[in-house]
Amino acid sequence: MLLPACAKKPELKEKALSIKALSELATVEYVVTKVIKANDNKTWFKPGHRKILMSCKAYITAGIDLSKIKDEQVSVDGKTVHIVLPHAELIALNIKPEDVKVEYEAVSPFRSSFSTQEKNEMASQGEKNIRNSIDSLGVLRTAEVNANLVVTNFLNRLGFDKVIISYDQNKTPLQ
Amino acid sequence: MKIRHWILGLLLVAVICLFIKREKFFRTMSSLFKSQPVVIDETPVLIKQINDLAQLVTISFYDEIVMDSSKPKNLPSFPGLRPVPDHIVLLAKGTVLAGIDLKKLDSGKVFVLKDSVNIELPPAGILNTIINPSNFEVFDEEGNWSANQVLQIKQRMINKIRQRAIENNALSKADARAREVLERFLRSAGFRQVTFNKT
Repeated sequence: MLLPACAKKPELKEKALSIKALSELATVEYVVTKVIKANDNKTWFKPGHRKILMSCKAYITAGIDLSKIKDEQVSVDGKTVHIVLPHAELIALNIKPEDVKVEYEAVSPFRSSFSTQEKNEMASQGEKNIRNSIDSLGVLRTAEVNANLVVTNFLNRLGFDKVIISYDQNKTPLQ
Repeated sequence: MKIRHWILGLLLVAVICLFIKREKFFRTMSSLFKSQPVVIDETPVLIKQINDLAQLVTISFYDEIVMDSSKPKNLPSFPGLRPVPDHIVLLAKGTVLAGIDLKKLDSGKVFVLKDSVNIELPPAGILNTIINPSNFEVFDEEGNWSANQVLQIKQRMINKIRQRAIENNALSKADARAREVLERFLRSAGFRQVTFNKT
Protein backbone atom coordinates (compact mmCIF):
# COMPACT_ATOMS: atom_id res chain seq x y z
CA MET A 1 0.00 0.00 0.00
CA LEU A 2 1.35 3.40 -0.93
CA LEU A 3 1.36 6.05 1.74
CA PRO A 4 1.82 9.69 0.72
CA ALA A 5 4.69 11.15 2.69
CA CYS A 6 4.60 14.57 4.27
CA ALA A 7 8.35 15.18 4.38
CA LYS A 8 9.43 18.77 3.71
CA LYS A 9 11.28 19.24 0.43
CA PRO A 10 11.85 22.97 0.04
CA GLU A 11 13.94 22.56 -3.13
CA LEU A 12 11.11 20.86 -5.03
CA LYS A 13 8.49 23.54 -5.48
CA GLU A 14 5.48 22.96 -7.68
CA LYS A 15 4.46 25.72 -9.99
CA ALA A 16 2.03 26.19 -12.81
CA LEU A 17 4.26 27.51 -15.52
CA SER A 18 2.30 28.67 -18.51
CA ILE A 19 -0.88 28.71 -20.50
CA LYS A 20 -0.35 29.13 -24.23
CA ALA A 21 -2.97 29.97 -26.83
CA LEU A 22 -2.97 27.66 -29.87
CA SER A 23 -4.85 27.38 -33.15
CA GLU A 24 -4.02 23.82 -34.15
CA LEU A 25 -6.43 21.73 -36.16
CA ALA A 26 -5.53 18.12 -35.28
CA THR A 27 -6.53 15.88 -38.16
CA VAL A 28 -4.82 12.56 -37.56
CA GLU A 29 -3.72 10.30 -34.73
CA TYR A 30 -1.29 7.46 -35.34
CA VAL A 31 -1.10 4.71 -32.74
CA VAL A 32 2.34 3.11 -32.96
CA THR A 33 4.20 0.48 -30.98
CA LYS A 34 7.86 -0.19 -30.35
CA VAL A 35 9.83 -2.87 -28.57
CA ILE A 36 12.52 -1.46 -26.30
CA LYS A 37 15.31 -3.96 -25.67
CA ALA A 38 18.63 -3.53 -23.97
CA ASN A 39 21.47 -5.67 -22.67
CA ASP A 40 23.58 -4.12 -19.94
CA ASN A 41 26.84 -6.04 -20.32
CA LYS A 42 29.20 -3.32 -21.55
CA THR A 43 30.81 -2.41 -18.20
CA TRP A 44 33.89 -4.63 -17.80
CA PHE A 45 34.08 -4.57 -13.99
CA LYS A 46 30.45 -5.61 -13.47
CA PRO A 47 30.20 -9.39 -13.74
CA GLY A 48 27.19 -10.93 -15.44
CA HIS A 49 24.50 -9.14 -17.38
CA ARG A 50 21.10 -7.51 -17.14
CA LYS A 51 18.61 -7.86 -19.97
CA ILE A 52 15.32 -6.12 -20.38
CA LEU A 53 12.52 -6.17 -22.92
CA MET A 54 9.81 -3.52 -22.76
CA SER A 55 6.89 -2.71 -25.01
CA CYS A 56 5.62 0.78 -25.58
CA LYS A 57 2.66 2.34 -27.33
CA ALA A 58 2.60 5.96 -28.49
CA TYR A 59 -0.08 8.30 -29.83
CA ILE A 60 1.13 10.77 -32.45
CA THR A 61 -1.18 13.66 -33.27
CA ALA A 62 -0.57 15.94 -36.24
CA GLY A 63 -2.43 18.68 -38.03
CA ILE A 64 -2.23 22.21 -39.32
CA ASP A 65 -1.79 25.53 -37.56
CA LEU A 66 -4.75 27.72 -38.49
CA SER A 67 -3.01 30.85 -37.19
CA LYS A 68 -0.59 30.60 -40.11
CA ILE A 69 -3.38 31.20 -42.63
CA LYS A 70 -3.19 34.85 -43.66
CA ASP A 71 -6.23 36.76 -44.91
CA GLU A 72 -4.76 36.95 -48.42
CA GLN A 73 -4.51 33.14 -48.50
CA VAL A 74 -8.31 32.82 -48.56
CA SER A 75 -10.14 34.04 -51.65
CA VAL A 76 -13.87 33.80 -52.23
CA ASP A 77 -15.61 33.97 -55.58
CA GLY A 78 -19.34 33.42 -55.19
CA LYS A 79 -19.82 29.83 -54.02
CA THR A 80 -16.18 28.94 -54.66
CA VAL A 81 -13.45 29.33 -52.07
CA HIS A 82 -9.73 28.88 -52.57
CA ILE A 83 -7.63 28.43 -49.47
CA VAL A 84 -3.88 28.01 -49.00
CA LEU A 85 -3.16 25.86 -45.96
CA PRO A 86 0.13 25.69 -44.07
CA HIS A 87 1.95 22.36 -44.12
CA ALA A 88 1.13 19.85 -41.40
CA GLU A 89 3.16 19.63 -38.24
CA LEU A 90 3.42 17.46 -35.17
CA ILE A 91 1.01 18.55 -32.46
CA ALA A 92 1.62 15.95 -29.78
CA LEU A 93 3.43 12.74 -28.99
CA ASN A 94 1.87 10.97 -26.05
CA ILE A 95 3.26 7.87 -24.36
CA LYS A 96 1.02 7.05 -21.43
CA PRO A 97 2.75 5.48 -18.40
CA GLU A 98 0.40 2.47 -18.56
CA ASP A 99 1.49 1.85 -22.17
CA VAL A 100 5.13 1.24 -21.19
CA LYS A 101 5.33 -2.34 -19.94
CA VAL A 102 8.23 -4.53 -18.86
CA GLU A 103 7.71 -7.82 -20.71
CA TYR A 104 10.88 -9.62 -19.68
CA GLU A 105 13.77 -8.95 -17.34
CA ALA A 106 16.77 -11.19 -16.59
CA VAL A 107 19.41 -10.21 -14.05
CA SER A 108 22.59 -12.15 -13.20
CA PRO A 109 23.11 -13.10 -9.52
CA PHE A 110 25.75 -10.40 -8.91
CA ARG A 111 23.78 -7.57 -10.45
CA SER A 112 20.94 -5.43 -9.13
CA SER A 113 17.70 -5.21 -11.06
CA PHE A 114 16.93 -2.15 -13.23
CA SER A 115 15.89 0.85 -11.15
CA THR A 116 12.87 3.02 -11.94
CA GLN A 117 15.25 5.72 -13.20
CA GLU A 118 17.01 3.29 -15.57
CA LYS A 119 13.73 1.97 -16.95
CA ASN A 120 12.56 5.54 -17.43
CA GLU A 121 15.77 6.44 -19.28
CA MET A 122 15.34 3.50 -21.64
CA ALA A 123 11.73 4.48 -22.28
CA SER A 124 12.98 8.03 -23.01
CA GLN A 125 15.36 6.63 -25.62
CA GLY A 126 12.41 4.77 -27.16
CA GLU A 127 10.41 8.00 -27.15
CA LYS A 128 13.26 9.77 -28.98
CA ASN A 129 13.37 6.99 -31.61
CA ILE A 130 9.61 7.28 -32.16
CA ARG A 131 9.90 11.07 -32.49
CA ASN A 132 12.67 10.64 -35.06
CA SER A 133 10.58 8.18 -37.10
CA ILE A 134 7.56 10.49 -37.50
CA ASP A 135 8.67 11.62 -40.98
CA SER A 136 9.15 8.08 -42.26
CA LEU A 137 5.77 6.94 -40.88
CA GLY A 138 3.99 9.43 -43.16
CA VAL A 139 2.10 11.07 -40.30
CA LEU A 140 2.36 14.58 -41.73
CA ARG A 141 1.30 13.49 -45.21
CA THR A 142 -1.84 11.82 -43.78
CA ALA A 143 -2.49 14.88 -41.62
CA GLU A 144 -2.56 17.06 -44.76
CA VAL A 145 -4.88 14.66 -46.62
CA ASN A 146 -7.24 14.67 -43.63
CA ALA A 147 -6.96 18.45 -43.27
CA ASN A 148 -8.26 18.75 -46.84
CA LEU A 149 -11.32 16.71 -45.87
CA VAL A 150 -12.00 18.51 -42.59
CA VAL A 151 -11.66 21.99 -44.09
CA THR A 152 -13.67 21.04 -47.21
CA ASN A 153 -16.51 19.56 -45.12
CA PHE A 154 -16.57 22.58 -42.85
CA LEU A 155 -16.67 25.04 -45.75
CA ASN A 156 -19.34 22.96 -47.54
CA ARG A 157 -21.51 23.27 -44.43
CA LEU A 158 -21.05 27.01 -44.62
CA GLY A 159 -22.58 27.00 -48.10
CA PHE A 160 -19.57 26.82 -50.40
CA ASP A 161 -20.12 24.44 -53.33
CA LYS A 162 -16.53 24.29 -54.48
CA VAL A 163 -13.53 24.27 -52.16
CA ILE A 164 -10.05 24.44 -53.66
CA ILE A 165 -7.22 23.68 -51.26
CA SER A 166 -3.52 24.11 -51.90
CA TYR A 167 -0.51 24.18 -49.61
CA ASP A 168 1.86 26.99 -48.82
CA GLN A 169 4.65 26.82 -51.41
CA ASN A 170 6.99 29.04 -49.39
CA LYS A 171 7.43 26.37 -46.76
CA THR A 172 9.40 23.19 -47.35
CA PRO A 173 7.08 20.55 -48.77
CA LEU A 174 6.86 17.21 -47.00
CA GLN A 175 9.15 14.39 -48.04
CA MET B 1 71.32 34.78 -8.94
CA LYS B 2 70.30 34.22 -12.59
CA ILE B 3 71.00 30.48 -12.32
CA ARG B 4 68.80 30.24 -9.23
CA HIS B 5 65.96 31.94 -11.10
CA TRP B 6 66.39 29.50 -13.99
CA ILE B 7 66.31 26.51 -11.65
CA LEU B 8 63.22 27.82 -9.86
CA GLY B 9 61.50 28.43 -13.19
CA LEU B 10 62.32 24.93 -14.44
CA LEU B 11 61.08 23.41 -11.18
CA LEU B 12 57.82 25.32 -11.50
CA VAL B 13 57.33 24.11 -15.09
CA ALA B 14 58.11 20.53 -13.98
CA VAL B 15 55.55 20.73 -11.16
CA ILE B 16 52.89 22.08 -13.53
CA CYS B 17 53.63 19.32 -16.09
CA LEU B 18 53.44 16.69 -13.38
CA PHE B 19 50.14 18.10 -12.14
CA ILE B 20 48.63 18.10 -15.65
CA LYS B 21 49.85 14.55 -16.23
CA ARG B 22 48.39 13.39 -12.92
CA GLU B 23 45.07 15.08 -13.73
CA LYS B 24 44.97 13.28 -17.07
CA PHE B 25 45.94 10.04 -15.37
CA PHE B 26 43.16 10.34 -12.80
CA ARG B 27 40.68 11.31 -15.49
CA THR B 28 41.64 8.23 -17.52
CA MET B 29 41.39 6.05 -14.42
CA SER B 30 37.99 7.44 -13.45
CA SER B 31 36.66 6.92 -16.98
CA LEU B 32 38.02 3.37 -16.85
CA PHE B 33 35.87 2.66 -13.79
CA LYS B 34 32.80 4.48 -15.08
CA SER B 35 29.67 2.40 -15.78
CA GLN B 36 28.69 2.37 -19.43
CA PRO B 37 25.21 3.81 -20.09
CA VAL B 38 22.50 1.34 -21.09
CA VAL B 39 21.68 1.99 -24.75
CA ILE B 40 18.61 0.41 -26.29
CA ASP B 41 18.84 -1.59 -29.52
CA GLU B 42 17.43 -0.34 -32.81
CA THR B 43 13.91 -1.75 -33.31
CA PRO B 44 11.24 -0.72 -35.80
CA VAL B 45 8.26 1.49 -35.01
CA LEU B 46 5.06 -0.26 -36.09
CA ILE B 47 1.80 1.46 -37.00
CA LYS B 48 -1.12 -0.17 -35.18
CA GLN B 49 -3.93 2.21 -35.99
CA ILE B 50 -4.68 5.47 -37.79
CA ASN B 51 -7.55 7.57 -36.46
CA ASP B 52 -9.09 10.53 -38.27
CA LEU B 53 -9.48 13.56 -36.04
CA ALA B 54 -11.08 16.97 -36.29
CA GLN B 55 -10.00 18.62 -33.08
CA LEU B 56 -9.37 22.30 -32.67
CA VAL B 57 -6.60 22.50 -30.06
CA THR B 58 -6.73 25.98 -28.61
CA ILE B 59 -4.99 25.90 -25.23
CA SER B 60 -1.79 24.30 -24.01
CA PHE B 61 -1.27 24.24 -20.26
CA TYR B 62 2.28 23.46 -19.12
CA ASP B 63 2.86 22.42 -15.54
CA GLU B 64 5.50 20.88 -13.28
CA ILE B 65 4.64 18.74 -10.31
CA VAL B 66 6.39 16.72 -7.64
CA MET B 67 4.95 13.63 -5.99
CA ASP B 68 6.44 11.38 -3.40
CA SER B 69 5.34 8.15 -1.83
CA SER B 70 6.61 5.88 0.92
CA LYS B 71 5.86 2.39 2.17
CA PRO B 72 7.05 0.42 5.18
CA LYS B 73 10.03 -1.87 4.64
CA ASN B 74 9.23 -5.55 4.64
CA LEU B 75 11.53 -6.19 7.62
CA PRO B 76 10.83 -7.10 11.27
CA SER B 77 10.96 -4.10 13.60
CA PHE B 78 12.30 -4.21 17.13
CA PRO B 79 11.27 -1.95 20.03
CA GLY B 80 13.02 1.38 19.54
CA LEU B 81 14.52 0.30 16.24
CA ARG B 82 12.29 0.62 13.23
CA PRO B 83 13.60 0.31 9.63
CA VAL B 84 13.45 3.51 7.57
CA PRO B 85 10.50 3.23 5.12
CA ASP B 86 11.12 2.93 1.38
CA HIS B 87 10.43 6.14 -0.48
CA ILE B 88 10.39 7.54 -3.98
CA VAL B 89 10.18 11.11 -5.28
CA LEU B 90 9.14 11.80 -8.87
CA LEU B 91 9.20 15.05 -10.82
CA ALA B 92 7.09 15.51 -13.92
CA LYS B 93 6.67 18.17 -16.57
CA GLY B 94 3.30 17.82 -18.22
CA THR B 95 1.25 19.43 -20.94
CA VAL B 96 -2.52 19.51 -21.06
CA LEU B 97 -4.13 20.25 -24.42
CA ALA B 98 -7.68 21.56 -24.46
CA GLY B 99 -10.00 22.50 -27.26
CA ILE B 100 -13.13 21.44 -29.09
CA ASP B 101 -13.99 18.35 -31.09
CA LEU B 102 -15.28 19.55 -34.45
CA LYS B 103 -16.71 16.08 -35.16
CA LYS B 104 -19.50 16.99 -32.75
CA LEU B 105 -20.35 19.94 -34.97
CA ASP B 106 -22.91 18.47 -37.35
CA SER B 107 -24.63 20.36 -40.16
CA GLY B 108 -27.72 21.03 -38.00
CA LYS B 109 -25.60 23.27 -35.81
CA VAL B 110 -24.44 25.64 -38.53
CA PHE B 111 -26.88 28.32 -39.74
CA VAL B 112 -25.93 30.51 -42.68
CA LEU B 113 -27.91 33.50 -43.94
CA LYS B 114 -26.20 35.58 -46.63
CA ASP B 115 -23.02 36.88 -44.99
CA SER B 116 -24.03 35.89 -41.45
CA VAL B 117 -23.23 32.62 -39.76
CA ASN B 118 -24.36 31.20 -36.44
CA ILE B 119 -22.66 28.12 -35.02
CA GLU B 120 -23.60 26.01 -32.02
CA LEU B 121 -20.17 25.09 -30.74
CA PRO B 122 -19.62 21.95 -28.68
CA PRO B 123 -18.12 22.70 -25.25
CA ALA B 124 -14.35 22.63 -24.86
CA GLY B 125 -12.79 19.59 -23.25
CA ILE B 126 -9.41 18.20 -22.27
CA LEU B 127 -8.11 16.52 -25.41
CA ASN B 128 -4.76 15.22 -24.20
CA THR B 129 -2.72 15.08 -21.00
CA ILE B 130 0.88 14.38 -21.84
CA ILE B 131 3.69 13.31 -19.55
CA ASN B 132 6.10 11.30 -21.66
CA PRO B 133 8.93 9.17 -20.22
CA SER B 134 11.41 12.01 -20.91
CA ASN B 135 9.22 14.33 -18.84
CA PHE B 136 9.54 12.16 -15.73
CA GLU B 137 12.52 12.34 -13.44
CA VAL B 138 13.18 10.05 -10.51
CA PHE B 139 14.60 12.51 -7.99
CA ASP B 140 15.07 9.97 -5.21
CA GLU B 141 14.45 6.24 -4.96
CA GLU B 142 15.01 4.17 -1.85
CA GLY B 143 13.99 0.51 -1.64
CA ASN B 144 12.30 -1.76 -4.11
CA TRP B 145 9.47 -0.20 -6.12
CA SER B 146 7.50 -2.41 -8.46
CA ALA B 147 6.47 -1.20 -11.92
CA ASN B 148 2.85 -1.21 -10.79
CA GLN B 149 3.55 0.96 -7.75
CA VAL B 150 5.45 3.50 -9.88
CA LEU B 151 2.65 3.42 -12.46
CA GLN B 152 0.11 4.32 -9.77
CA ILE B 153 2.18 7.36 -8.75
CA LYS B 154 2.59 8.46 -12.39
CA GLN B 155 -1.16 8.14 -12.99
CA ARG B 156 -1.84 10.24 -9.89
CA MET B 157 0.52 12.87 -11.31
CA ILE B 158 -1.31 12.90 -14.65
CA ASN B 159 -4.65 13.29 -12.88
CA LYS B 160 -3.23 16.11 -10.75
CA ILE B 161 -1.88 18.01 -13.75
CA ARG B 162 -5.23 17.62 -15.55
CA GLN B 163 -7.07 18.79 -12.42
CA ARG B 164 -4.80 21.81 -12.04
CA ALA B 165 -5.40 22.77 -15.66
CA ILE B 166 -9.16 22.65 -15.06
CA GLU B 167 -8.78 24.66 -11.83
CA ASN B 168 -6.82 27.26 -13.82
CA ASN B 169 -9.82 27.71 -16.15
CA ALA B 170 -8.21 25.86 -19.06
CA LEU B 171 -11.63 24.87 -20.41
CA SER B 172 -13.18 28.34 -20.43
CA LYS B 173 -9.98 29.72 -21.96
CA ALA B 174 -10.03 26.98 -24.61
CA ASP B 175 -13.65 27.79 -25.33
CA ALA B 176 -12.97 31.51 -25.75
CA ARG B 177 -9.91 30.87 -27.88
CA ALA B 178 -11.85 28.43 -30.13
CA ARG B 179 -14.42 31.15 -30.85
CA GLU B 180 -11.63 33.61 -31.59
CA VAL B 181 -9.88 31.21 -34.02
CA LEU B 182 -13.09 30.23 -35.81
CA GLU B 183 -14.32 33.80 -36.02
CA ARG B 184 -11.06 34.88 -37.65
CA PHE B 185 -11.25 31.97 -40.10
CA LEU B 186 -14.90 32.64 -40.96
CA ARG B 187 -14.30 36.37 -41.45
CA SER B 188 -11.45 35.60 -43.84
CA ALA B 189 -13.93 33.36 -45.72
CA GLY B 190 -16.16 36.39 -46.26
CA PHE B 191 -18.65 36.27 -43.38
CA ARG B 192 -19.28 39.67 -41.87
CA GLN B 193 -21.35 38.59 -38.89
CA VAL B 194 -20.25 35.58 -36.86
CA THR B 195 -22.08 34.44 -33.75
CA PHE B 196 -21.69 31.39 -31.56
CA ASN B 197 -24.10 29.55 -29.29
CA LYS B 198 -23.04 27.03 -26.69
CA THR B 199 -24.54 23.56 -27.10
